[in-house]
Formats: sequence, structure tokens, C-alpha cells
Amino acid sequence: MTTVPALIVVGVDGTPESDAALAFAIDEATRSGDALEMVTAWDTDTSLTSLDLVYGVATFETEREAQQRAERQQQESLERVLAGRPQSITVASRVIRGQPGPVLVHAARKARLLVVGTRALGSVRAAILGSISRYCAKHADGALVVVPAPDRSRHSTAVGTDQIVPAR
Amino acid sequence: MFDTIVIATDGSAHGDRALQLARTLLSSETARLAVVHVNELVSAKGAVYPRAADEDQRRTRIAAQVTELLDAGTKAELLTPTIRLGGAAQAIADVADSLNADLIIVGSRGHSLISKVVLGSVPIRLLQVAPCPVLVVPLPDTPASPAGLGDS
Repeated sequence: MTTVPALIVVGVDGTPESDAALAFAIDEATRSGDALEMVTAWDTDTSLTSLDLVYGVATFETEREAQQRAERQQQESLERVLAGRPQSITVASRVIRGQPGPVLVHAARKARLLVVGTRALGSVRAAILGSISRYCAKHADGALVVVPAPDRSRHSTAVGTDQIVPAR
Repeated sequence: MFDTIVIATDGSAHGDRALQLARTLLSSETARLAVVHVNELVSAKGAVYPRAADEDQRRTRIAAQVTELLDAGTKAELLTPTIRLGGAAQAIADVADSLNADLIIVGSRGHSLISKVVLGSVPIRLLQVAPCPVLVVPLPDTPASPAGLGDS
């Protein structure tokens, strides 16, 4: 008998696509009783545009600012997705510095499921799979669920209105 | 939660693991499990041939798995769309679309007949065109039974 609850890890980055993934993960965690963990990758946004160089101004954020921005984004994602959903569920939060693909795969190494969204443009036949979901598909040790972008999904994953699965 | 699940299988021994996982996702709420085996045909020398040399064995294996599911009380059905070489992912997506599926399950190696392939072209393509979430099940390098996915 296993005494360790199984774990679902979901990648959250504040986009509508990751909202759809988060909605799926919440529904699945509710169904299975598994623990759910949101994982958000962050890094400092250091950019020097040509305009900045002309004016001698560099735009950068401190590590603290970047981490706080990621935490805020993650929390907002959860609030958006939970609004209007019946579940009350405990969701763990991890905000980790690094590139999204490797961060997610590493966070999910002991997970039963890793759930990510994708920006694949379904209406275009030569669709480009989002680089992060492709990375996860290639490197994840466990099962991976890729949730289609809201505009491609047939189940109307508009957050806060419809659920990702047919309502019962 | 899942009313209709599509599971794509190429009939290999590795596909069994995906089917095992599918069974753990079934519940009394699942109306049906559609087992999809794409019949991919290759044109050569004026005739058509199945893509895999051991296609007959694969078919037999899948049919037996579906029978087993039915015996266990699952509303399973076997679908074998026939297509030309290269359209497997789209065919699976089309089936999921027509059945209004809530989830597609596919092994990571897809239809690849090369054992070294980690992520086959069929699963990748399926992630691009699927109308619903896709669950990619990692498949082991060897036919030996791998560690469980968290289930005891």
C-alpha cells in the first residue's frame, strides 16, 4: 500500500493557455484525490533595447522583483481559474528560477502527471507546438498531459465560465 | 470526469502500458473508451501493405485487449480507420473530434518502429492538432515492466 499521495504538477505562467492547463489539473486532482502543485519558472528580465542604448538607460529588474512578479502571476492564475468553479482545493505553490522546460520536468520527476498548456495554433495545419510543451514531451519521465489552447479546445475552456469538461 | 476517452495504440507490447493507464482513468462516469488503431497503408509495387510487418499480430493483440475490457464491463469499442501513410495523428484527432472525446491517450513512442525513438512523430503531431487534452504516456526502452506511475 502506498502512503505517499500521488502528485500532479502543473506549469503556470499567467497565460490563457496555462489557465486551461490549471483548470484541467484542478479537475483531475479533485477526481483522483492527488496532491496538486503549481510550478512557475522565472528569471530576471534584463533587456537592453537599441533605444535604451541610445539614451544610456538599461532596464532590468532585480531578482527579488522577478520572483515576486512570478509569485503574483501564479496566484492570480489560481484565483482566475478557481473563480466560478465548485472545487475547494489545496494547491501547493512553487516558484523556481530557471527556464520553464527544465524547471517543469525537474519539478515533476516524482509526479504522476505533468500538465502543461500549449500555444500550438490549431487552425494552422503546419502548427508549431509550443517549445515548452515540446521540451516536456521529450524529457518528462512521467505521463504528460498537454492541454490545447482555449481557442482550439472543443470544450470551451473559458476560465470562470465553462468548465473544461462537460458539466454534470 | 472523462465521458469519452480515446486511446491510440499501435498494437505493440509497449502500447499495453498506455492501456493500463487508461484503465486507471476510467470511472463509472466514463461512457466509453474508444480504442483506436490506425490502419496505415503503404503503396508499393502496385499493391498496398500495412505499415508494420507484424500487423496481423498487432491486430490480434488489440482485439484481445478490447475483448478483455468488454468482459470487465467497460464500454469499449475498437476503431480502425484506414489511411495512407503519414496521416495517423490527424486520423486519431478526427476520431476524437467525431466522438467529442475528453481525452486522448497515446504512448510516447507512437507508431515508431525504431526502439531508440524517445518521442515519436505521431504523439508530437497529435499534440498540435488534437481537439482535447492529450495524455502522453512514457514508454520504456525495454519490454520489461517499468516502475508504476505512482499507483501502488
